[in-house]
Amino acid sequence: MTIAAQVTEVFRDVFDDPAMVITAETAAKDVPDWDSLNHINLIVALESEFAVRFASEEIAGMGTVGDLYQLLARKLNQAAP
Amino acid sequence: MTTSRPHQQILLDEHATMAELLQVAAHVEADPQTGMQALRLVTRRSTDYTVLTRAARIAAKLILRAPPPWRQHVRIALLGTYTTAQMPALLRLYLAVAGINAECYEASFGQMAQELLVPSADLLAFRPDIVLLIPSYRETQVWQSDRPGPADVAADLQLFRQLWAQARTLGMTPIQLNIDLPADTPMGNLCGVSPLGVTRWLRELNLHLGDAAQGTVTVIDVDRLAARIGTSAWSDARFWYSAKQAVALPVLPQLCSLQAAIIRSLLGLTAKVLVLDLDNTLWGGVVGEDGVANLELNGSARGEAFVAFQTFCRKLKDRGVLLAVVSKNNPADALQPFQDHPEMVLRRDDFAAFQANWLPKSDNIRAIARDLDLGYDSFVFFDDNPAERAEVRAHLPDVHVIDVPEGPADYIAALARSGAFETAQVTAEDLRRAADYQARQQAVELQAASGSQADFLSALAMTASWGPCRDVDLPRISQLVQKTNQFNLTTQRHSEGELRAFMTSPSHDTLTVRLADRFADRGLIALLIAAYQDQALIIETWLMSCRVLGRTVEAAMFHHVVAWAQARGAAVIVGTYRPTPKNALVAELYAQFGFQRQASLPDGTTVWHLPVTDGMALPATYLDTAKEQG
Repeated sequence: MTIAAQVTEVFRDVFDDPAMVITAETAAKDVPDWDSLNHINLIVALESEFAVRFASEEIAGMGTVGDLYQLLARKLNQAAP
Repeated sequence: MTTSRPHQQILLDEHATMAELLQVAAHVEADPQTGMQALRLVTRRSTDYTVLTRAARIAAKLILRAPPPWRQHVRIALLGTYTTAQMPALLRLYLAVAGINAECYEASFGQMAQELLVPSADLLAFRPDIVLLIPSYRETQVWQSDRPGPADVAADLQLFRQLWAQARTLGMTPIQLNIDLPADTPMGNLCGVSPLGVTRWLRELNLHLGDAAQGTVTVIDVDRLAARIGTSAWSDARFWYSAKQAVALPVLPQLCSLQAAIIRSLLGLTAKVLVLDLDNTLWGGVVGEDGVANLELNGSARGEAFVAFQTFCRKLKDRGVLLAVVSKNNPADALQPFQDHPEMVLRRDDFAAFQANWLPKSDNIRAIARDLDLGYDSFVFFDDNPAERAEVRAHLPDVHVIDVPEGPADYIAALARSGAFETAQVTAEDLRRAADYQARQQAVELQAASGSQADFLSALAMTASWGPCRDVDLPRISQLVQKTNQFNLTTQRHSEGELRAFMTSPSHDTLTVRLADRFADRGLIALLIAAYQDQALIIETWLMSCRVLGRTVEAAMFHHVVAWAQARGAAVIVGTYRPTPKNALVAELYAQFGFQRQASLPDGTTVWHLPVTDGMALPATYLDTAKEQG
């Protein structure tokens, strides 16, 4: 599975929406339930799914899904989707 | 991700994925029981935060759409010193799968002490049955002190005692979480052992907390849970600074699961019986084929693991869990190791029931449930054979079937971590229970040998002692109030605070009964609370342990009620029967004692009257009713 597909699965689980579609441009303000509580839930789910750890600055600076792709690609030594 | 397997097949497959089980739970519109069963399996097999959060959301929807038949309702206030925002949903999930409908209230952030001591209007309006006190080490005086020592321990302890007393005064039952320990401290290794180390004093605080709570307040040992998980995983500094999460979210499900297990026990819904298989469960090998001499018991790695598992089970028995054997074996084969194998730890008389035959195991569990007079939700089933586990799961979904791991070395952990036998407190009655059920078997035999019921009751040589509720008995009385389902006329789950109020009220009388017979001392087994109002004696609460049904205890209690009514000059005795799924046994109790039905309410409640006269006819009893306890 690609990083993008895996990230989509995580978003669908966390936001409880099996049809959810996200793109690199998707930002917190575009998703009604993406509040500070769910942001932490998202981080916990992503860290578990990808076996990575984000620094506090990375968590705070994650503005769009594209930022997240870049971060994960760097941590996993892969090209960003 | 769609699943094509039938729901039932997924529910019976121990290797079903969490995604499959959640799918089942989310898609059973018409069948909330199946949905709850799927969620129950998720809570037993996964500790993953994301999985459990999803399960909690599905549970909430399921409950809204078609609530399952609840066994109990409870109102819980969470008072923490840190963010508890994710706890209520998880707690409700873990309680819902145990048949408990929980409503939760969350204190304003960090207001553990203030909300209770002031107390807040919101908290009072919520009327909690239980308050969970949720501290972390960070706010303790011990942690904040420059040179922690006994004075800091005493100050922290004092605050908790104050909170417990206040909760009681407000009629709430406190549950105290103890203190987690910091993972990383400047003193490092020395921190836990040097008199200068803060960890050493936090440990002392936890010891004192446990001692102070003994017999009165239930303590949840967070320190133990955090140690088992690992203190570096327990807390995550990133989320402490950004969101004041003292407990890392990935481990939060395990904390909520433990809280739920303890609350379940406080409500009297904890499991009571461990049903064990024999071959390859208590010993290695098959006794009917290999012979007693060739069983693996000590002498090898596997043999040692089986002996250790037996020892663990015997210790469960010693603290009040009933053991039963259900084994597909010839009875003589099944018994032989207990008689002849020198390494056996468990003895035949450690078991309250022993079923060795070739019937389906679910049939045998049904028979034991009938004999011991317990519901299937009181049973935990432990069997190394997956086919037997599936058989029990399919026919008795309420039985807690343990997913037994391959190999006996992991048996103890599987049973211990199931949380099935977590108890809030161990009372003297718990310690006596095993002997009690054995005595019950002997009494059944005596009954078979006696000619008439009267002969049997006389032969039991029962002695009872009577008296009002006393402080010293409150833990046991409270346990009875929470647990008694069958002989319970009104099923009012009074808190300890309410019980204390009855004890001191001038317009109430309370009666407790202790019973002993020639086989066993059964301890405190019944409670009655009467209120006086306008020349009427109103029986508010009347309950009795099912272990002493058919002993005429209720008749003797009724003699007391009549004596009270006459002494207080009451003109009429008023009784109420409020039906529940479990108390049909006493629906006609008042009719049997000569009461007339006065009213039937829409919810099935019936109200009964009996005029008080001088020469009232009293039912026969075989107890000595004169003796008062000291």
